[in-house]
Amino acid sequence: MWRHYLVTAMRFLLRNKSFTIINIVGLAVAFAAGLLVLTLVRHELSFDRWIPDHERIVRVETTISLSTSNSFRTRGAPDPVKTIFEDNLPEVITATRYSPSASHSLRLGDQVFNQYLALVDSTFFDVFDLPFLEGDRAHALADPGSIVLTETTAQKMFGDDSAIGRVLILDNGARSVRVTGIIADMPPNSHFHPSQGSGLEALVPHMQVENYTAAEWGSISGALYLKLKPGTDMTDMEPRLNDVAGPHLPEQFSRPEDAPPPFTFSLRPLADIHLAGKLIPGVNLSSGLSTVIGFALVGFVILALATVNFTNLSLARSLQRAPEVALRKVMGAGRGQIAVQFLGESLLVACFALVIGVALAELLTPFFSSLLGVQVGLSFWSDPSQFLAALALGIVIGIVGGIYPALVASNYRPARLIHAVQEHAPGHRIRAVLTVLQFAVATCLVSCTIIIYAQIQKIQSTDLGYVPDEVVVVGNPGGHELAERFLGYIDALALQPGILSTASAANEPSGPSRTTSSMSLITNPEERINVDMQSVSRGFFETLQISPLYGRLFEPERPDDSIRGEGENRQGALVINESAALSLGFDSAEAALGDIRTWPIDNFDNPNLEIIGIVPDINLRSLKEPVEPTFFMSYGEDAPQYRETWRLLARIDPNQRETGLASIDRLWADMFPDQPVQRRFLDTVVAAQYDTEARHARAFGLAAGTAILIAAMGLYGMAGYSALQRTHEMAMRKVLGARIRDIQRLMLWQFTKPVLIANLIAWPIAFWIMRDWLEGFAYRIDLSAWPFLMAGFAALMIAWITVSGHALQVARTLPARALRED
Amino acid sequence: MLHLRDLSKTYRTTDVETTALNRVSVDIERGEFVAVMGPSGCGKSTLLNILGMLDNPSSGVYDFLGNDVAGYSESKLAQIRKTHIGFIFQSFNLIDELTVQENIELALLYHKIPARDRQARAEAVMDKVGIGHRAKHMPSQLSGGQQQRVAVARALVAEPDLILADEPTGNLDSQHGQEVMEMLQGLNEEGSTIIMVTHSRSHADFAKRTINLLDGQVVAESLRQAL
Repeated sequence: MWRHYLVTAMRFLLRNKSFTIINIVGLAVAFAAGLLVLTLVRHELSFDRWIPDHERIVRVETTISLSTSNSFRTRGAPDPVKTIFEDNLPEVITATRYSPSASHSLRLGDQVFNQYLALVDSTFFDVFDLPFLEGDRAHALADPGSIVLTETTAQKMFGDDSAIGRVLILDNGARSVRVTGIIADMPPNSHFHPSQGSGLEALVPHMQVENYTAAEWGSISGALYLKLKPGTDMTDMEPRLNDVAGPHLPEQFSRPEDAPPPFTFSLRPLADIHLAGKLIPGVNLSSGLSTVIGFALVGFVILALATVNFTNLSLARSLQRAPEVALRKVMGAGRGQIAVQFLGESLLVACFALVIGVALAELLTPFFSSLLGVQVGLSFWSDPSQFLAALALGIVIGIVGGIYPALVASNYRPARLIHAVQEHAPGHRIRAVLTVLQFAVATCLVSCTIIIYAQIQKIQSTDLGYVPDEVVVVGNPGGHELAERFLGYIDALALQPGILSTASAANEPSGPSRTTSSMSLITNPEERINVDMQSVSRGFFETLQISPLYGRLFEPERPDDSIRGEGENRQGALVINESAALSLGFDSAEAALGDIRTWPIDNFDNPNLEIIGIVPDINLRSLKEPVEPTFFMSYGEDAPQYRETWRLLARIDPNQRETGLASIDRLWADMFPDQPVQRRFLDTVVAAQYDTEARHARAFGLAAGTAILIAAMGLYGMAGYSALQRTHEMAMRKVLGARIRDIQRLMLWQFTKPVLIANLIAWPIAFWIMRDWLEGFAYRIDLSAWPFLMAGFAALMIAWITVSGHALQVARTLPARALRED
Repeated sequence: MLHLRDLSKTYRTTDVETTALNRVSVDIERGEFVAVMGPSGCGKSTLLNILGMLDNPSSGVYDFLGNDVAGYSESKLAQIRKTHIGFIFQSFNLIDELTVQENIELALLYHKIPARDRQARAEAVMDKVGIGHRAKHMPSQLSGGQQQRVAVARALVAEPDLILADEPTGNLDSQHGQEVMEMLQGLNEEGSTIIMVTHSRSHADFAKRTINLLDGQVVAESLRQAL
């Protein structure tokens, strides 16, 4: 019996090639898309679950409240709380800090490596049981002069030589460290992987600090992980973090009773870190939970589209096989047997499609990974769970897509064989509904894609208020010892050929780090707003080509413009942006000019500062955020902050680009012979902020393309079927005087209707989704009708092109032949 | 073998009620060869559908081998049909995807007969109708006459008590039509009971008895005199 079913199915599929190809190719494409998405989602959900005891490792996160109205959450915790939590919370077995930074250098002989280096506690490997390749886990970090490297880092530094026991010079002689262990590289599904921002490449123990100062509470640079006792209830433990930390807070952080506490601590389970989304300052560059859900949804939609196609085509074709069903029933087949036969055929088609889909997915993996910027490991043949997942997908789709046609087919009555009964095409209405749904989804995705691209276009063409083109950012060589030399480099570079001007800034424009403070309003000192603090050198505005709205900018020949002096005598000048002037309560931006006030610009000094200039609201951050009130200040040489210069900005003469770049490199090689220069163009830094959006656009584009392809294939199949079914009707129309043009129009209209209805469904949905998405941008396009109309028009064109061949074929059939065949 | 008493069939749509059969009473005994004739729309096909248990009568008695099957459920009818009735259709209704032999075996497929027995019985019946040499061919490779022979073989292979033929020569030229009729006559002489619907007077003459229908009623019966 089964052999008989198989033979019948195979011969039917071979005989109806176009039906078979449309069905199998459509499903295979969807399977490939579905499997890739499934693997992506699995990858995203697998983060850090491979670390032993991950379920009882947590990261302490800190919500910092600067003012009543403004607070933000960071992924880090102040250094001092580690000991406080260890000593006061019985649930904590052990804890470690993890402070990664890219600005360290490691020297081996005359070679210098700029490596991500994390300062950790000696307990790091008690919290994270990472696999050791060499060295002794228990004592690897016991000595402050030890360093643990990952395999790749060790390989890079020492080649094939043994690394254990070798000595490296850290930060130009600040410390020398001895290699005590080699650990395996972090896998891609770890928040410690280099692709996730601050990667784990080298670990060095923190220097021991006995008494923390207020400054250490105020500056949060690293993360704190706790390992808890088995069975710890985190919701019960979380409030006690604040209870035990509160009494240890330095006096500077004391707040009135009704004000929110300066720090609120919370726990994040290790496995949730990756999907928790971007915190500030953002380290986790990856997608976040909503994106994963979005991807899963798109994958599901594509699979659903293909399944609908499959159902639709099988349903249409089942009418062709009505005589066969009737005959089998006459021969004694029951309904169940017929249904099983047809369902089996659907499963067979799904299995063929699955094999092709798996091959396609394997083939497309590298392309998919680079397109989305995510490493997806696809291995159906070596990983039984992936294989089983794929197989399950194939079976489920085969059953879901095949069950309705099987039931319809099994319902054909045997009496039709003896003329008296007329069967009609089954499920006509359902087929129409399914076609409408397909085009609705496709049009919706196309609309979204157009809007995403338009928004990216908008971002790229928005005037930032400064000119990032032809500006080169050069990184700090690392280590405070070289700060003086770096300042010299900045001055010297300004005189080199091809360089128009140089400046420095503590925070790179469009970079991740920020300095925020809160200021009292001039109208009501009780009320405070958050202010963005930008520490810049005097050439900053000239280099970025920013002109003042009112007043003037910092001038080199006026030493009073810099913040100088100590304590009471501290004074200087401020340039603020328009938003700051208005938010602080001045009647107009201009009215702020000349105002002298005690602005607490760094932690605990109260200098008198004069506002000398107002600049427009320039976008030094992502366009997703509105421009915040911003203070620009320039430190004098005697201020310690003067040396905290993190980035050099150099404007190159566009006519001497190569000369300018050569100047940067040559002067660097002269002044920092040990270290490679780290430079980038500022416009690439700006563009990099929208990598995620660009990835979304590409993913949506891909999904929309696939959806349109599948819908068009379905329509092609349906049109072919309809042409077959309506040949007789059209012949009759021709006999009655219809012209070829009339027939074509009739056929096209049959398939125009569902596309038009689909648009009416798709537009509001796309509008709703995109309005939500655009909310994420402070600078966004206005949603107009044209992306929707464009998508609708595209869908209609594709439908017409798909159907026109069949329409013409029907229209050209000679009536005599069609009527004779009937 | 089968007895119809006051059998009626009406089709209803929302507005119209059509009577296809009107109080038909007929008796057919084992070994008979009966032709049913009449103009288009007289109820021939409806009668054949009911006789073949492909449709239920609206009222009346249908006694088949001693059971009144008029009120039987579809599945019960299917059970009787597959063991007792063989069908031959005007348009052959061979399955395009199956070979000649597989088409014939189809009639045994739902009888839980082992594959080897199915094969043997199909081969025997193919020889009987003279298409043994075409066993591996597909229907599309055969002439109309050959296709109808396959259909006859398929009707015979399950050794039914009754063979119902719906215009078996309707799609054939006169020479092939003649051949098929001769084959049916031969089968009848070997003992098969055959009821055949036909438009052709000459083909009706192969039967021993002819029933004429008009507007759903039996208007005449005639017996062919044995030669």
